[in-house]
Amino acid sequence: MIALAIEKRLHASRALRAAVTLGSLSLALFLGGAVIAAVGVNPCGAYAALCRGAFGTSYGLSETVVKAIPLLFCGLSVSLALRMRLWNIGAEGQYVVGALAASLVALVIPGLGRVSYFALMLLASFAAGALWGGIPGALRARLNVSEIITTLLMNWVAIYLIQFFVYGPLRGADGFPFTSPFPPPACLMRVGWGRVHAGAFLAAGAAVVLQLLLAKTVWGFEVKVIGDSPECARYAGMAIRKNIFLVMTLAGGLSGISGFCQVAGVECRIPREVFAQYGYTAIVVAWLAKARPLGVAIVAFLFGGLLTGGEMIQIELGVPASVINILTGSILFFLLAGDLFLNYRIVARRAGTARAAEGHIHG
Amino acid sequence: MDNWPGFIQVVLAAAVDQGAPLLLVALGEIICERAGVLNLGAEGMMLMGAVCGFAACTAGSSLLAGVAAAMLVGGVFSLAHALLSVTFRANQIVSGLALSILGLGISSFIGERLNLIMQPAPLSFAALPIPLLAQIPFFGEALFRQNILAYLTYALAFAVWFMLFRTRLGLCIRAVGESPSTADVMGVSVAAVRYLCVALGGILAGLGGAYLSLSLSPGWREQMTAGRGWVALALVIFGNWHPGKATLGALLFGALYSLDTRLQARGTVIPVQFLQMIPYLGTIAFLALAQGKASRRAVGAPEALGRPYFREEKE
Repeated sequence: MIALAIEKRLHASRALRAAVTLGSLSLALFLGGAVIAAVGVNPCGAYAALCRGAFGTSYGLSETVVKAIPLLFCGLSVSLALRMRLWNIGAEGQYVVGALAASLVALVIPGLGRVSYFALMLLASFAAGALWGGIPGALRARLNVSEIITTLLMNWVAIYLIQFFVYGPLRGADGFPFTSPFPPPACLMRVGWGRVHAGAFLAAGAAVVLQLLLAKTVWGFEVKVIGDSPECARYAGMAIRKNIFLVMTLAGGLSGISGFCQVAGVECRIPREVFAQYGYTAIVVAWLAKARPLGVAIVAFLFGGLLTGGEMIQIELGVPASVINILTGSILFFLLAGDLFLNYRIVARRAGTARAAEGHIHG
Repeated sequence: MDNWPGFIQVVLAAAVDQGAPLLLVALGEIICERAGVLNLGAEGMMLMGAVCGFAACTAGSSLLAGVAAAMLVGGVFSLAHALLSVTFRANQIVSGLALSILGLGISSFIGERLNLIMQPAPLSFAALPIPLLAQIPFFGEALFRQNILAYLTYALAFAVWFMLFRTRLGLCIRAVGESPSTADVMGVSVAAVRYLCVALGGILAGLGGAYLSLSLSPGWREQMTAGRGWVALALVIFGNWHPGKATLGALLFGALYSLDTRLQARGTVIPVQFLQMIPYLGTIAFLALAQGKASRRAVGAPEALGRPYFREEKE
């Protein structure tokens, strides 16, 4: 009798990787297509419109970059934590409090120059995000409280906090639940291409710096060792608790800055779309990029395109916004399933010979 | 600020009600984690249960249909996680997150397509006072004027405890969660037990979602769980993976939610958004307190929690 069994695979070839990734993506697109067909839209037409909308025109491409900026920052934030095998599910909340802190600086302190506003808003957003990431970091470092749960719960605290300000003290003069516009020097400069703003350079710079820090410094090595093998790190005398706290604080700060870029760069006030769930999408981005900063930049760009194209087919074809969420979820789901074929090999063997086969591998 | 006993009574009654959906999800997660599978998709499964329960109840004009649909959908949806984490040996954290993202997307999609957000609840579970017990002063009013789902939930906590600690099936589940290789050698199918437990977790999380849309706040809104699935995950840790302690925790966490709504209803000078933060901040604080204590004694987390089982692998 032949039975299927799986064995650990030590190395997956480049071709296999490409094939599995393509296969997983196709299945995800197929599932998304089924959902699109269910609302009475031709899936092929919808995907074509999505690509055209995201990458086919200069305007679309610029919007893709605008959406990639917060995804890149938050993706770096999640990746940094992931390097230490910590899960920052709180990028969303850190992003929101970063946006709030930057807005407070812009709206409460009048009459500063461009440089002062930039520096203060950057600092405020970093500090707010760092606080939001640092609290779960400290709890994890000191008491071993699961950072997955606490970072997520902090998201809700952040959302209620910004709602308090937007519906209360910071409510704009026109009565709608967004703030008044910032003073012009508090806005980030546009680069002259659609709504793309200077935050693009900040985000790209952050990716390069993080890449260098993680790949070229002793600290980056420590982070990796603590994540991969805490026992080893303890034996080597690395400061584990301090680094857990530090990494979560820095990760929070990175997400915080993305909030600043978004409010100061896109609409120059807190808009409604501040709750665009970039922080959650960033988890998918970081995972798909295997937590490598430069990889995050590429994946963030592609997901920026997915979000932009998603908006296009929402407007043009009436495909509901939730379809993009379903598509994101299924991409993650199928790529995760595909990992099986990269980490293990599936073999057919005659029942009863399992022992012999195992002996062969280990012997 | 007069009539404090009355206020406390109302908060307690609401805590029992608010704690019930949390407890349902937590009990499911306890079963699942006792078998060694971490399922972070609780929020997604709850959302699916909430939307499908409400839709089925509306379509069939029957609460029973709503509850059954929610449990069925929750169970089937959770099998996606079982497939990834058991059969495909995927990272359980990511798989659970994928389930949460998918649940949010699919539940919003269903709710929008069926225009549920416009619809008033056709039916909802009404309070069912228990004769005699409800007459007990103070506590009777608070504890025994709940709806039937709430009574069932707390009875279920006992049933889950009995199943886990007093039956052969429970022994198998715990063995699989503590030492899958030993269980395997003893002839227990690790994969079958894990599939079963993940599905039970999904069924209970779906029911927890239906509790929201059919009883606690009848109706459907996008993201109506508002983090309750994650609070339930915190509850599992707080309750040290034990149904009894989780029940006490559910009342405590439920009290946080009821404090929020009751203080709002009462009208205070504190802005409403700060009251809404209470459950989240409270959960973090309780979790920190529990963990602070737990680090000094043995933690009840199953040994093999979160690790895929691979027979040929040497431990």
